[in-house]
Amino acid sequence: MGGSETVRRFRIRVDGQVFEVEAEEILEQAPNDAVERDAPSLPANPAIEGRDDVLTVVAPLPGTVLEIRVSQGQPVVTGQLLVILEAMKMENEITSPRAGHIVQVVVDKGQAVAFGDPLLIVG
Amino acid sequence: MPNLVGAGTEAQDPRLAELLERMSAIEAMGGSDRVERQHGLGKLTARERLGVLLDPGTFEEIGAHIEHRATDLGMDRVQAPADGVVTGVGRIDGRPVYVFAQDFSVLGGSLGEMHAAKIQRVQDLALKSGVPIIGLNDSGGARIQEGVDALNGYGEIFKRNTWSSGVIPQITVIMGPSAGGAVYSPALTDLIVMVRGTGQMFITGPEVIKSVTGEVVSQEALGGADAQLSRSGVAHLACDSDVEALAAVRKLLSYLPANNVEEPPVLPVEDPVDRPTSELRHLVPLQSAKPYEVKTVIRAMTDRGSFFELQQGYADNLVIGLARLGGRSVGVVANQPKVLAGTLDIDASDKLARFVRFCDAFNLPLVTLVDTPGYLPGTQQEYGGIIRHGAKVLYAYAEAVVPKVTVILRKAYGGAYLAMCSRSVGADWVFAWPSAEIAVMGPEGAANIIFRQAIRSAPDPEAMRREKTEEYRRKFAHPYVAARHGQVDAVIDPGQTRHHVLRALMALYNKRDEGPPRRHGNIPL
Repeated sequence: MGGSETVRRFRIRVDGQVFEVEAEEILEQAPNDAVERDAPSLPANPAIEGRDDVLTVVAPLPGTVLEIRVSQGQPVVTGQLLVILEAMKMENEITSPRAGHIVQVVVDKGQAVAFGDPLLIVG
Repeated sequence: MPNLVGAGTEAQDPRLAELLERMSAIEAMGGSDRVERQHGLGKLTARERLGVLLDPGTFEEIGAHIEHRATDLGMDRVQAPADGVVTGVGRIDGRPVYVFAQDFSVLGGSLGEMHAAKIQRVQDLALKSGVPIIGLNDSGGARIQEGVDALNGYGEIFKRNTWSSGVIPQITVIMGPSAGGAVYSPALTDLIVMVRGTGQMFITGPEVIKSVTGEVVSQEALGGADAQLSRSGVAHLACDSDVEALAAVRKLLSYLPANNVEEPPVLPVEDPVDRPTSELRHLVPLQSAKPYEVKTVIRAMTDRGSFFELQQGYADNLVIGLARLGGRSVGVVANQPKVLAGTLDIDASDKLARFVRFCDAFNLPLVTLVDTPGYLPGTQQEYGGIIRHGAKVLYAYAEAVVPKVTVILRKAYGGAYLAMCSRSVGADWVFAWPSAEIAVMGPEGAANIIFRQAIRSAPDPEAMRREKTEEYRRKFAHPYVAARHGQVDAVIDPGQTRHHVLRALMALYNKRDEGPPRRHGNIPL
């Protein structure tokens, strides 16, 4: 949570008793959970920067990437199997929400993903 | 047109001529320009819609001459034929239904005091007579000139919606705007059908949202049929046109009784009760981690072509719908292993519980197909109140007094096993396929706990884990322990599913199982 450089130590006295406390300065636009989690998994990609014609396919439930059935640049049709995500002891088939092509495969085989983590980007 | 047979066209009595003149003015609605504009939007007029909805020639109009009596803000000079809503009674497949159809061509279909009174009148008649009511909504909202009288009109409608709930089926079709408080009458009804592109529901519209939160969103993206169907779960069906939506209402009613003391209609059926469902024998993959399409089971076991899915696109990890078995209506509930592993989550719980209570209110037996690995884990679910929402499922099944038949297809573990209409929460009949796995938890999880010590101290913990998992699987991951203890009534050949379920239902149709008298229970909402 927050950079350690924003944490400062203070010694305060209350009714004669001395306490050592740490105080963290809360920066404006403190990172929220979603940003913290998503940011490392989705590196800046000039190919999709600012584009709204691409769709990020996210993990609908937490699990492990068992198989990736497509590769970058490959054309796909709606409903095509993209990734098999093992979760809840089940092989969950993640299919393409649209026709297009694979702009980017974000995850690796065997990678653990949390709910809402990006798996791939379809353009 | 009013029935004037015998009036003759020659030498008309001036009193009849006046009636004809008045009726033709009323039936012209908001005038040809506004009717044209309505058509230009791809919408039918209120009267055309009733023509499509009802059996030909069956509409009996009530209160055609009613007009508003507002005088402020220039309203004394405003003519509003039928006060912007056409009300009455008609028939669908020969059975009576009360209807109201808001007319956008008259003052934008806005709801004022008398407009509301007309709707209340058919609501009262429908409730007293035990007849379904169908509302065709196409309205700009409260008629601002009529102020608090318009608001009062909404409140009186909401109250009647609530009184009618569970007594007569109430169906709403959203065929135009329905914004602000106007959404709550539809929301209180049993089923909402929406027309794509023209039907929109929201509490606060795009402009208010933009001014308050800065979000930019179109009306259709915010409250269109697809948004309310698949994102919010408010709607039950989305249709591409007025005609398609009205046909859907006719179809919905074919499954429903007129009221809560009648049985649903029984339709002649050619599909034999003992038709084998052999295609189901190999449907469930041998590896229990593989998904399959549960709707294949529903379609195979119910009367051919009778399955009518509701809320498709919302919480698809759980499938609900109406169907027939041997010509009789049933409500079907099924976990969907293809979506979110078939887990139960907040949205699926809400979807399930409301549907089960709907079926219970209208004497539709419940057929539940079970294959779920359990509840969806995660902070989002826990913070979202999965305890509160999941409790609705138990409540709804335990409360329901209609015949309840459960078929366990594969996974039925722990709390989710109980929730999915298990014997203990009130199933009258429980079948299991040989692929059923009924236990307190899945083999991996169970082995990890029971054999923790053995696994940890083994020279090869992974091998030991696999061995113990397999041991547990052999011992418990099948239907025979539950069958031995009477929690399952029969383990059946999937190829005979239809026949077994039909025999159970036929033996249960006269079931009477009322709970203790009380005002109402306290379902966790």
